[in-house]
Amino acid sequence: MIPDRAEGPDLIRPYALTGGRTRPSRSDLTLTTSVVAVAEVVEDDPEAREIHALCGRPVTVAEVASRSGLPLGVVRVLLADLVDRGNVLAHTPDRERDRPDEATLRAVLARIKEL
Amino acid sequence: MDGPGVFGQAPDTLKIVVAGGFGAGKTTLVSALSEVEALHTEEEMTVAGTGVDDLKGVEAKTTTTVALDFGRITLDPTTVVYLFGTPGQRRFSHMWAELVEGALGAVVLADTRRLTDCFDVIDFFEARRVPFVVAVNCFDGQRSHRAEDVRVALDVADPVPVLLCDARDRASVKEVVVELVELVLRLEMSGA
Ligand SMILES: Nc1nc2c(ncn2[C@@H]2O[C@H](COP(=O)(O)OP(=O)(O)O)[C@@H](O)[C@H]2O)c(=O)[nH]1
Ligand SMILES: [Mg+2]
Repeated sequence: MIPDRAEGPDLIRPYALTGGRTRPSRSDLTLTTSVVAVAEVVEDDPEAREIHALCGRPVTVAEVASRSGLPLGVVRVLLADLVDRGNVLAHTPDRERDRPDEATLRAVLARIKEL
Repeated sequence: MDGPGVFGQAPDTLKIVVAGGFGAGKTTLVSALSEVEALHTEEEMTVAGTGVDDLKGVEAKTTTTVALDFGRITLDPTTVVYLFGTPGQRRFSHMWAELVEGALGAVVLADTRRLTDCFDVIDFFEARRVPFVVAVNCFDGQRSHRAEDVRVALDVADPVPVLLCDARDRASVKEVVVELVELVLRLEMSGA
């Protein structure tokens, strides 16, 4: 947890972490994209390291944002940099593109009823 | 899943959006089925100071969060359901577009004290053809509401399920999610 960064309405400081960039270098990082660290971060950038450390096992972008305490937009910019540099792998689930078929929906229904 | 080696088999993700006004019970509903995590969105933070919410009717709630909350339900090793909660007022619509992208469908959580809170998001889901159900959260003393009255008040079309629920009750929330998945299944089978 990065303390206090996401507190309050002041966004200027969080975006200072991205060099003022508000848009990620890639657009494929959705809320439910899975990300996982694959190579060590060499940069001496504490936020990049923190984000990288949160990807020690496959997690979603939403979870990384939540656990870092940083705003989603900032996390997306930092994650996109890590993906570009080869430090993190991203996988966007097929469900983001294709509606589940009938068999999947029936299986999901059965599972939900069992919860 | 223990590392990059199995990353190719990352689970399928089903996304369900839960929309409703402040205090409608979104966080309660999500936490009835899963652990809740909060997600700060900068968009919400920039609008946080631009308008004061009309808190009439929800005086019991002294604090509100404009953070998105989400829950994760692992159905089996290959299927994970994410529930994302979002405020239902138009000024949060910038989040809706991303949330509904690839979403299975949505739950509109209605608070009968503030039904107007749902209008914008219902319009949005209708325009985007996002399958949705309306769940009327039954706060104490309001069990006299009939789902059909709410349907009329919200002016939602017949195929849209409208049901009463208790956001605190796991079985009741499960029923809401089941209703949504059954709706999606009906749409799938009818080729819609
Ligand atoms: N009596 C009652 N209280 C509820 C119900 N659902 C939520 N609440 C309470 O209403 C308040 C607002 O709920 P919350 O989930 O935080 O609403 P949100 O703003 O939509 O996330 C909380 O104090 C809840 O405990 C319900 O079904 N019945
Ligand atoms: Mg809430």
